[in-house]
Formats: sequence, structure tokens, C-alpha cells
Amino acid sequence: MNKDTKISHLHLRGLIVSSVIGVGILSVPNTLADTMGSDGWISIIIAGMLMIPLLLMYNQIFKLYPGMDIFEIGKATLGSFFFTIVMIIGFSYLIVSLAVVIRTLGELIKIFLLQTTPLEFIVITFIIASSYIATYEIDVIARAGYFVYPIIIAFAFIIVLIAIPGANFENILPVFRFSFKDLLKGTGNIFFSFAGMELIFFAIPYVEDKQNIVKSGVLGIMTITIIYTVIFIMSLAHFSLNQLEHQVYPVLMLIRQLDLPGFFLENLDGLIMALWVIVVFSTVAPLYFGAGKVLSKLFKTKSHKYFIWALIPVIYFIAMLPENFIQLLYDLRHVHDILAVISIVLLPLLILIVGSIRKKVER
Amino acid sequence: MGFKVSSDLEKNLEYVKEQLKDCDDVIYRNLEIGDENKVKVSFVMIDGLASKLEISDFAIETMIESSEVNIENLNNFKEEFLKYILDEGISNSEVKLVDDYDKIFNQILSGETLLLMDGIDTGIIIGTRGWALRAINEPETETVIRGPRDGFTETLRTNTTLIRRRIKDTKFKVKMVRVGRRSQTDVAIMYIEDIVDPKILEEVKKRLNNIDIDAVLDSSILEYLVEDNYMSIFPQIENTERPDSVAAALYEGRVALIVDNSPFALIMPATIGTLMQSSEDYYTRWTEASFIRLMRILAVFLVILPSALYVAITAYHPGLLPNRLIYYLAASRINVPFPAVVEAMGMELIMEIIREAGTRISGPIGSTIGIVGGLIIGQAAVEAGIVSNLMIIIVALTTIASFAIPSYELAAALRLCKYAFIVLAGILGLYGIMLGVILLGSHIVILNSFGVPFASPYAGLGVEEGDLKDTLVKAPVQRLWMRPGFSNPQNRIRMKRGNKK
Repeated sequence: MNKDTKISHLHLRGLIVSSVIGVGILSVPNTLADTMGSDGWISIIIAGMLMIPLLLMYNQIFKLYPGMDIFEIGKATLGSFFFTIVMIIGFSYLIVSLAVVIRTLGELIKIFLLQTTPLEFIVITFIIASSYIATYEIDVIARAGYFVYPIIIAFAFIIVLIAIPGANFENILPVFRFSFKDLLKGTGNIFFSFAGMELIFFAIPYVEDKQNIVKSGVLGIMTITIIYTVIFIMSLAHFSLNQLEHQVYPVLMLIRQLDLPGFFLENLDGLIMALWVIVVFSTVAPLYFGAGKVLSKLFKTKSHKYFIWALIPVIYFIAMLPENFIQLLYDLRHVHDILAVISIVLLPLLILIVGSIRKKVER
Repeated sequence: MGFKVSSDLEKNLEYVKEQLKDCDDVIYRNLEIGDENKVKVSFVMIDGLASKLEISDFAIETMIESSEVNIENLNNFKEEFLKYILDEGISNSEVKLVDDYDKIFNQILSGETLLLMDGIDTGIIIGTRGWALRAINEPETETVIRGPRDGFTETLRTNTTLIRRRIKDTKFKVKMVRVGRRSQTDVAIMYIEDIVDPKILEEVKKRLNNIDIDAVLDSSILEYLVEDNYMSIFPQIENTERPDSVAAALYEGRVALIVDNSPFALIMPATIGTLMQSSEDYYTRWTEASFIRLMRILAVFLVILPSALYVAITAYHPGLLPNRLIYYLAASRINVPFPAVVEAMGMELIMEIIREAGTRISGPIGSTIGIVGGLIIGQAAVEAGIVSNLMIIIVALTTIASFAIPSYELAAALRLCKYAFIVLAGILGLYGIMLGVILLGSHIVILNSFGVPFASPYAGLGVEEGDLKDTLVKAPVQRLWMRPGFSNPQNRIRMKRGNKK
């Protein structure tokens, strides 16, 4: 564990919000409209509440082994061999996440900003631009997250402002018209929009004021939940449920339809997309850092810098694997979702359980 | 190394003359004092560095006048004679006994006078530094409308005095070190002992100690030697010509360096927040100061973005603008034979040359450059249809905006970024600009200044401590009752809360 790296709990909050909110923010309304209909916001709140026990679980792992980072804890609990497998799974999750996020970014940039530029070029430039910060330590990444934090809030705020003129809040009604099965499915779907939480694994051991971790984390989760809820409600109010079900990125449509009379800029979608690039960057940076870090631990090297550079072609290759956008949305996402459940919930739970038992036995 | 003053004056003089051979600016003045047993003494000093008036009035004259001293008891000659010289011979205020030649030469070359006496194996250094000084003038690079008008000069002692006058506190320390093997430049490390973070102070001292260079001609060289990342475009140390800025920084718990022969003091750590502050902010009403600070942040974006946006919008996204604006833009560009990137890059570069020419030349020729640059290049180029009207406006805007940033180095860094942004916008449009923002933002976040994140207080230290009220805006003095937190001061309270009138 590196003693020079220090993070304040505020940075932890920034890291949570910025790494969770990324590509998902644009598709949340559609994801939910499909399953939960106009009651999607209930799923968001439930999923948000489910993140809190997850946060407590993460924190508990580090409480068991104070002063150790996740790699040392993993080795101490599961042993070298099993933890290597865990690391490989975690690494594949991170790398697939990166590919999905970056490919989605590339596709949307191509649609909204650069129709004639090849997708390959957009993807590779973004990977290279993100690799710069990923070669540094988690405190720098967390600082960047904190930098983007107000931008994310401003981004959500602008979307709300844009949606207000055409909003019809009657669309939200009627409420509570879903079956229990729908709720499970909807909550399950939206759960993946909260992926990114696991990145605090790299950050928690370095937080200076440990007693604030939970408080700060809960505030971060609440911020995300509120942003998602508000964006869902605004898009629902702007489009009807029917329209919402048929648009993959209703938020972008919402911006595109905007026409403010007498306003300096007419088509705000380009500018909003540009702002969104930064939001996505703040998701990619910690993922990329994590992938490099895990790889460097697998190969037992001190610095993860060279792995970050070596990963540039790997991420590019996986991101370009799906032949088209549709395939990306279904196939690669599917792989991602499975790996996400394993790495975010199951593996930490395993470490926690084995760790707790070991501690008990030792006593 | 190791040569000591011997008790034979002839030998001493021989050695000194050997060392200072071919240095024709050295003055030797030999005297004989005493009534019967005459004792030979010699003064050695550098012409121009040592004040001749002081040495003739307070040392030579008094010695000649009181030359009726009678030394009989040779057993106790050394003590008696030294006592006599120090008590009656020399009336200067600064006198010390030195017998090591290394130190002696060091002192002579700094403007002190050496007194050697026959039969005595120690030299006397008389404080006679006094050379032609530049008077204290108003700082040229940081003028204020309201506020003190004194600026640093090239003499270290004058500069430390200017600061001492603002901090009458025994806790204010001025540590002297020497940097440069040959130049032996004096550097003063200044800090307030019970405010400064000892870790930062240690780091400053350590880095100064590690320097091994033959000469330090200006504080800027020292700045590049001690800063964290010399490959960065951003300055990680603040420099100022204003003693009040230095004093204010010291009161905030930062460390300042003054380098001899340089009118610019260095302040560390520096962050993006402190580089955007001007001393005048503290001498104007908080409302205006806050407004100006927000304008400065706008100026940062105005330096980097307009020409890049021009390129991106004309080349890739004309649809972003309302129709009427597109027509206007298209009409103004209709005769322009170049792509937008070439046009923007060319105009910005020409502006840069005009600016550089104007900086080096002052007076009547300087204004000619302004006229030629402004009229010929601006007006004529537009009339000839080589560049569009809008481009000229943008170039003027970015140039003016770069002057609104208080730190010249920061403005210079942002100007360089502007070119990178133009290129990125030329390749990838608005997306390219955002990639530029990502890279620039990453770089700012990565940088450190003496262990303090450069991005403070926006993303590093000091957010929790409430530093934003003295960086983003400037709160009223009553509200700034705590020192900023980014420099981690030992003592944060600077004012009793709720001061009553």
C-alpha cells in the first residue's frame, strides 16, 4: 500500500458520482420505460437504496483488514491462487466495461457531432486521451472525479431546464401500476446503471477520515439516485410513455427537439454532447486505472503505467468487436452485465465472508 | 580550502594578491598605526561594491587620527591590539573576526572590506556593502489602482526590508542560503514560523540544497530548478514584484524566496487558485473584486476556446448556430481562400509575432508596431478577403483576454494551449476540443506544487476548508477569518470572528 496517496472523503463522493454516472444517464429513461412503465422512478429509488448495503459491505471488508489495500486483503483471505482468478474476472469486467462505454461514446459522437469521421478514429483518440490520467494514482483520479462532479450536476440541471418548457407532468400518472415481477426486472436493469460503485475499492483504503466514508458514500449514492430520478421524470413528462419505449436515448432526443425562441444557440444537442464527453471521461478514467492496476498486480510489477499503454490496443479491439450499435447494445452489454454482477456483488461478498470467518478462527 | 590567516601581514597580502590576481577592481590600502612600535595594517575591498565613503570615514580616518596608541607589552599584543582596533579604530556597526580565507573571499566579493593586521592571525571583516542601487519603483508588471506602490529591486537586502516592514513579528524568519557554485547568489527563505506547514518548508529547503549549478542569474532559473514538474506548461511557483503580495502569502502560511539580483520574489506552493489572484483584489470592495474574479475565469476560456470553436463550427458543425448567424458567417468567409484551421492558426501566430515585437521594443517604435499590426494586418487583410471579419474579432478577443489573467506565466501557458486546441478542433471538431479539455484538465489535476495539488482549491485541497470564497469570488474581509486551507497552515484563525465596529 502506497503511503503517499491520500484522499479526502469529498473526493470519494466525487469519485462515486463521476464513475457511476456516464453512459447510463442518457439511456436510463428508456431502460425503465420498457419494464416499469411510468413507475420507473420507483425502481431507481429502490436500486439506489440497494447500493447502500453494498457500500457498507465494501467498507466492512476494509474494516476487517485496516491499513491494507484490496489486493493485499484478497491475497490474505482467498490465498494467492484463488485471488488470481478473482483478479482475472475483475480485470475482464473492467476491460469489457471500458469497451462498452467507449464504443457507446464513439457511436453517439458519430451520430451527433462527427458524421463523416470514422468511428475507429473517435474511439482510439478517446482511449489515448484517457490513458494520460490513468497512468497516475487513485488520488489523482479521485481529484479528477471531484472536478467533474459539478459538471455532472450542471449537465443534469441543464437537461431539466431544457425539458421544463415541453413537460406535461400528467404523463407520470397513473402510479403504482406494476407487478412484483416487473419491479424485480426493472430494478435489476437499473442496477447496471449504478455499476462503477466498485471502483471505490481502490479508493477506500486511502481515505484519510475513515468515519466519513459511509456518510460520504451515501450522499454520493443519493446524488446519483436524485439525478436519475429527475431525468427519468423529466423525460417521461416530455415524451409520453409510448415514445419513451421506442427511443434508446430519449435524453438526446429531448435536447435535439429543443427550440428556444430568441436564443443564441439553436441546436443545443451538439454542445450537450460535448459536455457529455467529459462526463464519460470521468467514468472511463477510474475504470481504465483499475484495469491497469489489476494487471500490474497480476504480473507483480510496481508501476501500472506500462500496462495502461499496453491496454490501448486491447480496449480498442474489444470496443470495435461488435459489428454495429445494435450488437453492442445486446451482445457485449450482456457479457458486461454478467461480469458486473459477479464482480460488484458476488466476489466482494465472497471476500467478506471468507475474511470474517478467518478473523473469527484466528481469535 | 583550509587556508587560514597567518600572523605575517606580508604573507597574507601575498596570498590575497595571488588569489585576486588580474582582478584590477580590488583596492589595497596600507597604513601604519601606532606611536613608536608601528603596526602595519591593510584594507582589501572591491571597488564599486564596498562603500568607499564608509570605509574612509569610519575606519581609515579614525585609525589615522588616533594613531598615538602605544603598544609596549608584546606578550599580550594580540588581544590588546584587537581590542584597540575594535574599540577605537573602527566605528562601523558591523564587524566580525574571520580567519578562514574561503569565508573571507566570499565576504570581500560580496562587498565587505577585509582588514589585515601585522602580527595577528585573524582578519576583520567590516560591513561596508554599498553599491549603486536602483531606487524602489512602482512594479511595472503588476500595477494597481489602489494599494501600495513599492516594488522589489535587484538588491536582496532592500527587498527583505520591504517585507520586514510589513511583518513586525519575531516569528517571521529570513533564512539565508547561497546557491550557485560560482555566482554564490544569496537566497532568502522567508516564512512565518508558527503559520507555515513545516513539511512544505522542509521540502523547499531540501530542494534548494540539492541544486548544484554554477550560476543563478535570476529567480526564474531557481524557479525552474525547484519546481515539481519542469516539463509542464504551467508555472508551479508564483512570482511577484510586489512586497505586499509576498507578505500576504507569508501570512497565509506559504514560503517565499528572494533571490539576489532579481526583482521577482518566488512564492510557493502555487495553485491554479492563487495564480488567478491579483493583489488588488484585496484592496477593492468585495463585490467588485468578486465580479472581476469571475471575469478572469471567463477570460481563461476566452483565451483557449474562441478560435478553436470558430474552426470547429465552420468546419464541422455549422448546424449548431442559428440560421441567421450561419449566413453571416458564411458571407464573411465567402472570399477566404483558406480552410478555417489555416486561417485561425495563421492569424493567431501573426498576432503572437506582433505581440512579441511590441514587448521587446518600447517607445515610439513600439507604437508603430501597434499601428502596423492593428491597421495593416487587421483592416487590410479583411479588405483583401484573406481572413474573415469574425476571425479578426476573435484574435483580438483572445489576445486581450490573455492580458486579463494576473499571472503572466499562466497566460502564456494558456496561449500555448490555444494552438493545441485549434489543431484538435481542426481534426475532430467539437469532439476534438473536448479531448483537449480532457487532456488539459488531466494535466492540471496531475500537477503538484510542493506536495499541494495544483488544482486546489477547485479539486484538490481546500474545498472543505472553504477556500472557494477567496478564489472563485472574494468574500468580504470579515468572512475571510480563516486562512486558506490548501497550504495547510498550522494556525488557521487569523481574525476574531464577528469583529465589531
